[in-house]
Parts: sequence; C-alpha cells; structure tokens
Amino acid sequence: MLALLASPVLGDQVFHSPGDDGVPGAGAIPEGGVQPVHLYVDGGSSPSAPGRACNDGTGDEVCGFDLELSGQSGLTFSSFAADPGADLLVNFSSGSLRINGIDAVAPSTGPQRIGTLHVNAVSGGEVALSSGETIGADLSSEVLVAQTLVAVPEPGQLAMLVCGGALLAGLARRGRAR
Amino acid sequence: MTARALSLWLLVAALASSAGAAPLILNEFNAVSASGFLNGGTAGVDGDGNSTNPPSDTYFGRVAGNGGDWIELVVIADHLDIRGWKLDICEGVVCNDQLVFSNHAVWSDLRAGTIITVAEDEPTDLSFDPGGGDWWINVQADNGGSGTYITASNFPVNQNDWNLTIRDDSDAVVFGPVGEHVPVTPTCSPPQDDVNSGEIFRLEMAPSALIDPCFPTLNDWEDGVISTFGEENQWSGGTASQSFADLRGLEPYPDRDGDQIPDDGDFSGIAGDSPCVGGSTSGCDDNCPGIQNPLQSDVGGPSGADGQGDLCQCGDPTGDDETTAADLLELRELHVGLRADLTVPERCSVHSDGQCNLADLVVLARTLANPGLEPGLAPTCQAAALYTDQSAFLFDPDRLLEVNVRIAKADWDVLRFEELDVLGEITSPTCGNQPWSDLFEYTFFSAEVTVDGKTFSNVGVRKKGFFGSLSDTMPSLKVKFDHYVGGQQLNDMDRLTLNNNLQDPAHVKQCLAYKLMREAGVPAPRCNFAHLTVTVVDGGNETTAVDRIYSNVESIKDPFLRRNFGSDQDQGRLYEGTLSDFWAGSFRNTIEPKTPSAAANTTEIDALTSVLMDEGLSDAARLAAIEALVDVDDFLTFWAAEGMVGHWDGYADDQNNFWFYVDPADGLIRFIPWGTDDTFGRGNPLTGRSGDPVHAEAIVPRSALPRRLYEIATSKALYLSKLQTLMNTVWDEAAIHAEIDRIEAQITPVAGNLTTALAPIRTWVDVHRASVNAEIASPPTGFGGQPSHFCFFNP
Repeated sequence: MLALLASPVLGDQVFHSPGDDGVPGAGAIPEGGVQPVHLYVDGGSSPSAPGRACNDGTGDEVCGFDLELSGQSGLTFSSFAADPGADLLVNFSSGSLRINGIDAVAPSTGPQRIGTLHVNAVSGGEVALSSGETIGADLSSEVLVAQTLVAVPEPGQLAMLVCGGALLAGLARRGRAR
Repeated sequence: MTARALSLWLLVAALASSAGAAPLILNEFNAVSASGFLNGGTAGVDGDGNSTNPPSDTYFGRVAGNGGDWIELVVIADHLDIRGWKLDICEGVVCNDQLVFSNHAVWSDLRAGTIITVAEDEPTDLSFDPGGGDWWINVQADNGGSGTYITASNFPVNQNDWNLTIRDDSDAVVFGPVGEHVPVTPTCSPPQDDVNSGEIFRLEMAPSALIDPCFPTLNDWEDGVISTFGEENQWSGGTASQSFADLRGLEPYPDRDGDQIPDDGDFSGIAGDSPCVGGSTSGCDDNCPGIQNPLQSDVGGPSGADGQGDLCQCGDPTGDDETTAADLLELRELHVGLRADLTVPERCSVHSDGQCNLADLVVLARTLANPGLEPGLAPTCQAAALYTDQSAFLFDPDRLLEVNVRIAKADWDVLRFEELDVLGEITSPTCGNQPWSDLFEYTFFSAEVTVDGKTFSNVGVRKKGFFGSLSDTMPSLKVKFDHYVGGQQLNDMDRLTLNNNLQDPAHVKQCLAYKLMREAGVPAPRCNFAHLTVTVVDGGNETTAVDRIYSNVESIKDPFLRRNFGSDQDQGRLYEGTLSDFWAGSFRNTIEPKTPSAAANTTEIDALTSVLMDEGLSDAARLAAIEALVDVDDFLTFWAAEGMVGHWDGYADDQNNFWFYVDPADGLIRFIPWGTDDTFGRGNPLTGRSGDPVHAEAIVPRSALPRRLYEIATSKALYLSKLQTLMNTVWDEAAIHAEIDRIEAQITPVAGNLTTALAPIRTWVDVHRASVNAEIASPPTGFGGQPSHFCFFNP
C-alpha cells in the first residue's frame, strides 16, 4: 500500500486524505497498480479578521503555495487532476509534480482540496516532497511540510510474503539438516 | 566671478566659518496693537493724516490690528528639519510662551527660502508650491488650533521689548534672541530699534546665513510701516525689497532623472507621497524618479493610474509597461519550472522586501483580481529602485555629463602644476620606503561646480594622477562635493573622478575596459563620459581653460564597496597598489592603506608576501596557503580580464594600477582594477626589465601572485581556462564595435572627429582573439623571478 501520511501540526501541510474528505490519514493504498492520492493543503483553522488575510492577517489562511512532489525508488506519476475549484498552475511529468496555487483574495482556513495525483506503485517506492512554501495571511513565507509517503504491500500481500519467506526458510533449514 | 557667484561664495564661506550660521531666522513681526492701524490713525487716515493710500499690509490690507499676533520666519538652510523646534517668545527677559513645531512631515525637509508665518488668527495654509512660485507656509497657533503643525496656544506679539529665540529639538539656541531692545552684552550687540504700536519690525536685507543678531554689520532689522505678511519685506517707501534669489537658487528641487518633474513635485517634503497620475505633470511627485519620463505616463497598472509610472511599472515581468494577467502567468510559469527566467526580472517585485518571490506572486494575483484591495503594487522593484540608487543615474552610459568648474585663476594655476616629482622620487635613496601618498598630497581648492545645470558652491577640487595622466593644461580632477560643505552630494555620491584619458586620444579605452571587466564578473568601477569645462575667474575676466571629454569613473570608496561586496571600510580594509606587489622591499612598502584600520592591520598582506617569497614551499603547500588568503577564483578572473582587455599597466603585467579589499565576509583578498586608460592595443612599452624574458599580449604573469599561480600546474590550468572562457563569453567583437560606435556618436560633438584615433583600437579588437587563442594554445614561458622595482636605489 501507499501511505501519504499527515505530519503532526508543525505548520502549513500538504497531505493525502485517503477518504478524500480532508481528513489526513495514515493512508493505505495497495501497492501494485495505479492508485489515487488525494492532495490537500492546510494551514490551520484559525481565521483572520475579515478582509485581513493576504495583507496583515493573523489567521491560518494559505494565500499561495509552491510545492514539488517527486516519485522515487521506482514509483512514477500517472496523472494529476486539479480540483476545479483550485487556482493551480501545474507542471507534470512522470517523475515530478510542481504546483503553484493561489487563493489570494478570500482564502479559507482548514483543509483545501487541490487535486488527485495518480501514482503507479507497481513495486513500492516513495512520494517525496522535494520543496514547498506557502504565503500566509500576513504575507510571510512558511515552509510547507509533509512526510515522505512510502508504498508498502497490502496486508494480504504482506501475509503471503511472510508465508513465502517462512516456507523458504524452512526449506533452507531442511536442506542444511540433510 | 559674477555678483551672484560672489554672494554665493560669501554665503557658503560664512556657513563654513561661522558655527553660528542660522538655519532659520526671524524676518518680521507685527507690533500693531489690536485696535490700532499701521502708522496709527484710523482705517481711512493714518497717524500722519495721510488718507491717500495709508499704509497697509500686502496680505491683510489696512485692518485694525494688522492681522493680529503674527511672526514671520525664513528658512536659510536647505533641506532643514525643524520638527520639535521651539519658539521662545519673550517680553524683555520674561519668557512665558513657547510654541513647538510638531513632528508633522511638512517640517521635515524645508527648502531654503521658505517663508513660515505663525499667526494667531489666520487659518493654516499649506498650499505651499515653490515650483509655482508660492514659498509661503502659514500655520495657526491659538488656543483653538489643532496642534497638528504647531502648539495650539495663543501667544503675544507686541511693542513691549518683544523678542524671539529659536531653539532646536534639543533645546540648543539656533538663533536669537532678536527683537526690540535685546540687552547688549560684551559679545553681542543686537539692534536697539524702538517699535511702536503702529509698526512692524522687519529685516531690511536679503535673508542669508550671514544674518547675525549680534553683529550690527551683519543685520539690519528696522521698525517700519510697510507690512508684508508672508512675503518679502519692503522698505524705503516700497522702493526696496528683500531678494530671496540666492537662497532659492542654491539648488533646484531634486530631479534625479532630469526630466523636469521634481521627485517631490508637490513640495510636501516627502518624495513619492503624491505621484503624478492621469497625465498630470505639475504639482505632483515624479512617478518614476529614476528614469526620465517627462510625460509621466501611467496607464499600465492593474487599475490604470496607480502612481507607478509605466517605465517603472512593477509587477510587469513581461516588460510591456503594463500589469496584466500575462505578467501573473509568467511569474507562475517561473515558479513551476515552465520557464527559466522572466523577460524583465527587475520588474518582478511588488512586495515590500525587494525580492522576487512567492509573496510577489500572491500580491500580484490579489491586485489583479481586485485592484482596490491592499496591498497594491509597491514601488519596490528594481526598475523603480533606481530611485534609491541615484548613483546608477550618475553613471548611466547614455548620459554625457555636462560639468563646469569655476575656479579662481590663482587657485587653478597652483592646482594644475601640482604633481609628484616621480623622476626625482625614483632616484631618491628613500624611494620605495613608503606609499607614494606619504610623499605628496594634492591640495584641494574651492570651486563652484555645476553638473547638468545643478550648481554646487564651495566644492573641493584637486588634481589627480601619478605619472601617465599628468597634465598641467588638462589635468585629471577629483571633485569632492562635501570637502567643505558637509553632506553635499550629487546623486548620492560625494565625489567625481574625472580622468583626462591622456593616453587615449580616442577616449574610449577606459570605460570600455571597465565595462568588459564588469561583464566578466570583476568588481570594476562604473564609467561614463563628461564634457568638462573649467572656467577660470580672474577679477572680472573669465576664460575657459579646459573644454574636452573626460571619463567619469566611479571612485573606489564605500558606495563602490557596498555595491560590490556588501560592506564598506568600517568592516573591511582597502588598499591601493601603485608600482606595488606582495614582495618585500619597495614593492611591499608602496602599498597604500586607505584607512587607519587598514594601516594598523596588514596581516593578510604580510602573510601573502611571505607565501609568495618562500622558495621552499611545494606547489601544493603554496597554493593552499594562497587560497587561505586570496579568493583565488576571483583573482584568476581578474587576471584573465586584465589580459582580455590588454591592461599592460595593471597588476599582473606591471605591478601597477590595482586596489584590493580584505573582504570581511570571509577575510579573503579581492582585487579591483584601476587605471585602464592604456588598454586595447599598445602593449607594455617597458619590456626590457629584468624578469621579463618573454612578453606576451595577454598572458603576462610578471607580478608575484600571478607568477606563482602560473608556476603551479593546477592553478595555471584554471587560469588558462578562465581566459578562454572570457574570450568565449565576454569578448564579443560585434558587441565591442557597437559599443565603440555608440561612444563615438555620443562624444564626437565635443571631442571632434575620432575616426583616426579609433582606427587602431578597432583593428586590435579584430585581431586580439587570434593572439590570445595562440597564447592559450602555446602558453608563454620564462617568467623567472620578481622584476626589479622602479626605485633606482631600492630595486
């Protein structure tokens, strides 16, 4: 499975919401095919006074962001579908995804869906946040944080792998006993 | 010297010699009683029975009280800041009233010649428009006043030994007391005129820094009946009046780009607070003060007129003088890697940090989506930043400065013949024991200097040069604006260096060499051209002693260091080399520290000298030791650039004409070129000296540092690679020819036909690449030991 893990609240985040509901999860996408990664950006829940965000606001609105995700260790990107409500400029390739997003006039707090990235994780791999920056409500810059997402086998696959490993180990022991 | 020039000179001389020169003076006060009239009497008939035009104030007319309690002041010092200044109002020695000027910006930058009236009854009037001939500010001070500009308090003005003292914000007396019957002391003899209740008290001479209440010959306050509230004083029946011409003519309102739109065109004291919009060109501030835009075109912002002139339009990375969605798209493309750079990067920044980053993108998007929302596009992009870097305009290659120096003949005849006796010195037994500057120092003389119509009085002017540029008919000059007048500057620079190009009849070599060196990444001075005229004044006769093209070369001073290294001589240490090197003896001794701190700490020079002279070091050890003291990569570029432009009289070839800076950022030495007026062709005429068995055109490591680096295979290879890179990337014959053509067109009207003088330079440009490539392919050898020094007894 592929896990896009939400980091602890350390600042503005980009995360995968497995249920596509804005809730960051431990994330579990089966390894072995094209899987969706629902991308959200969240600066926090505290709003600025009305009209102050993207000027001198004190809230958590994200007024703009840059992020670059890259596929590593064999994981590739198949496609990216931007959310119709998100103002994004995208530079997509099978190895990386660069997004510039703007919400500079009336930005919202809380998780903001930006789109769905389809990844191809046939045999594991990672999605890493190469770089990321946000502009907050007071127009200051913050680092956009995320944890590296690691593709891992599904539980069933994992069990078969464990059984297979045990079988091989047993065969090996028998061979040595002879 | 004209009468005006003479008076200017007297004025400035007084400023310079008298610590008490007043920046703000009392010009007039009203002693007419509340119910009385000028010269007594009634409204229709004065006290002398005159019913035909009885005396009246030029503003109030003939009214009871003559306008009430008011005083009139005149600003003498230009750009005066009187925020927090105080007016002590006294009757005799009893001082019960004090008015304080507020911290309002209107008081922060007053121009010389401004009239300030403080009145109890007359409403405040800040319509002040010197450009339109209105030099008068009136502020109301009474119990019902606002206090915005001055204390809201009534104050007496009368005939009861009334006097005024002006204090600055630290309570120091800057003028006065002056008024009626101010007591005489052993050191002060103020005027003793009697003022009656039908009179005003006024200054009957031109206001100037010479005015001093204590010296009867330096003031002339009188009582009288011709009242001129807010205007120049009149006397002698109205046949005489004050002249403010000298005060107001001292310096035009700053117009840094010379487009006739003053930077502070609304004369508010704050440049840029009221930019020209809607095509307006008067009564407003230049909306692009660093770039000439006389039409003040401003239709390119997201909401049209946004106060940012189109030529300075920030938020315009596409460079079409407008701010549109295309600009936002280009910025976003940059951010996601869909483009490598912006079309016009210097127009990117619209946010307050001056950088081009994500915040600019957000602000630009916000402004385009809703132009009314704050923050709008701030004038902080580099295009507009010319405003804060006025010196860029001073060295604008497209600008031919018109410089006139007016100087007394006696001074000129001393100045032009001054020079170090170089031949005498190099044959002296003490030659090479100290920097050349210790042996001789040029003398500054006071002159009036006009640059592009702006006249500066009491400017320090001296000759400059060491040997090759010395001339007694057209000397190179240092023009130091603040030598006698503290803070006097031109375009943020306190001096001009005007070089006579004596070794280059075509004039182009110096600026062209510096240009190419800057393009190579070398911290070389900026350079453009000046048409210099020197007017020599001898009594009533004036003659033109110099009328020719000079190079205007940026001085190696703090502005240069800050621009190139981000620090100045308070942090780093600066040295100049003239027939100098990092080699013990005469070469080392002639290195000139430019500050006491540089003289006190020569650690790096001494260490480098030891490293270069130590014959026992391995190549690796020597290179490592050099790298600990010198930014070798920068030096290789500097050295290669000297060869690229044929600077035989520089450091690598001739141990001459170089500066170096111990950069506080990392403690390493970095080199600065100088004296490039004999580049592009002649080659070194001094090829017969010892240590010079082979003399090439570009690769000439005769000085200690390049010679040692040339001995080491790795650094030699790096140097040759640098030189090749410069020839491949910077040396562009077509571009160089174009620049020569541009300069020729620019200066020919003054210099005359330059075709013949330029011909060998053009030829050299065409053949130089082949010469350098041949030297790189087969690097010259045979550079042995250190050349002998010029000092005859200390070789």
